[in-house]
Amino acid sequence: MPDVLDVLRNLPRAVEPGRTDAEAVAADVARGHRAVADRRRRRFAVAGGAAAAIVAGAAFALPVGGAGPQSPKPPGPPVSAASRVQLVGWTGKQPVGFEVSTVPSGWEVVSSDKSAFVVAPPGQEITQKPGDPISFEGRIVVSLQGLSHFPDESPITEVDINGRKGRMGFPLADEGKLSDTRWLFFKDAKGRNVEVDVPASAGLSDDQIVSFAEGVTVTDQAQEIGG
Amino acid sequence: MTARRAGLVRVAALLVSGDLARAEDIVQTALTRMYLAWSRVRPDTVDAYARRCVVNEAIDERRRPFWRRERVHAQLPDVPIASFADGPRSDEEEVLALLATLPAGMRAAVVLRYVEGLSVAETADAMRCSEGNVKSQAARGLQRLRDTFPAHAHLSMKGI
Repeated sequence: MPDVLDVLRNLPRAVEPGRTDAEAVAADVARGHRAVADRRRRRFAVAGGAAAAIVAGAAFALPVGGAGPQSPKPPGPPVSAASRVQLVGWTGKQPVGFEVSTVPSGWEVVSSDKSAFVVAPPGQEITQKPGDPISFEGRIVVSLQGLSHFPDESPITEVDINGRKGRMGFPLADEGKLSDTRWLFFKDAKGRNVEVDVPASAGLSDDQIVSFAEGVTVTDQAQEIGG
Repeated sequence: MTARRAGLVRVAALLVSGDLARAEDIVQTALTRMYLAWSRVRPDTVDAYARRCVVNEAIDERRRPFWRRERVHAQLPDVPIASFADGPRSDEEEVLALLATLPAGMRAAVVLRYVEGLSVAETADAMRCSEGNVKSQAARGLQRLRDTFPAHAHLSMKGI
């Protein structure tokens, strides 16, 4: 009768080997990409809890601190995908992690902190308790790229962002199905990878997204949110 | 990744009594969790982190309400008992089956220490518990296997 310890040492031979083919590994990676995309789309934990500055009501169309040289246009009716929105100059207090020079007319800041700059379209409920997760659904998000990568299925459009190469594509909405949200990845002047997420409902053209991205400046306080 | 994946599936399979389908599920979930946490994983601890994810997932799976609930069937399932249907089993198959009778934490300690050959410290890291707990769980688990293995092996030899 062999000792249990000897049998235990031989146990790996009694277990069928798991899959190690390229297809299984690729599926693992695809699952990871989808999980990152899902997390980005749904919500993220607000870094710093109360540090998340909620600027509800400080609409882009209503200058904060008085009119400046880049006074935004007056607020208009709710913007739909069918009617192109206009980018207007940002005159409010600059966010901590990501400074912006333009924003879509009428959109409101949901959160601006070291993790991300999030703006919501007119008419969307943006009341938010400090520390609560913030939804990315239907909102424009600026953050560091972290683990986000284009899925193989996504067409990629190369664009020019302030003389540096940017790549525009789509995340996966579900297995084998692309989302209608556009992702733009580009390096800023300091070489950091920036990500801009723009939902189709924003109604921004590719050129407008590029124009918006060209006005983004990543500050030294910006932090990755991991995906 | 390919070589590591095989090792992770093996550990998961040992933690769920050789059920390869469940082991695959566990590894897939663990790798996804690891991917989401990738920015926090240090290059020198990738293997340990992956192992910890798998062990946590395997142990947590048993803690979920789905597994705790008694499952009700209108009819008794018509499934043959392995030892009756398949005749005598090998020592390895016997011990694999006996591992399933151990509590999840004890089973993990036995598998990681005596099958995978990890040190007490590495096992404690994978199980996220103290080294004293690992020593205790592994020793008690091994003793329980030693207590039951001869009897099972004897019954199995007779095809009972």
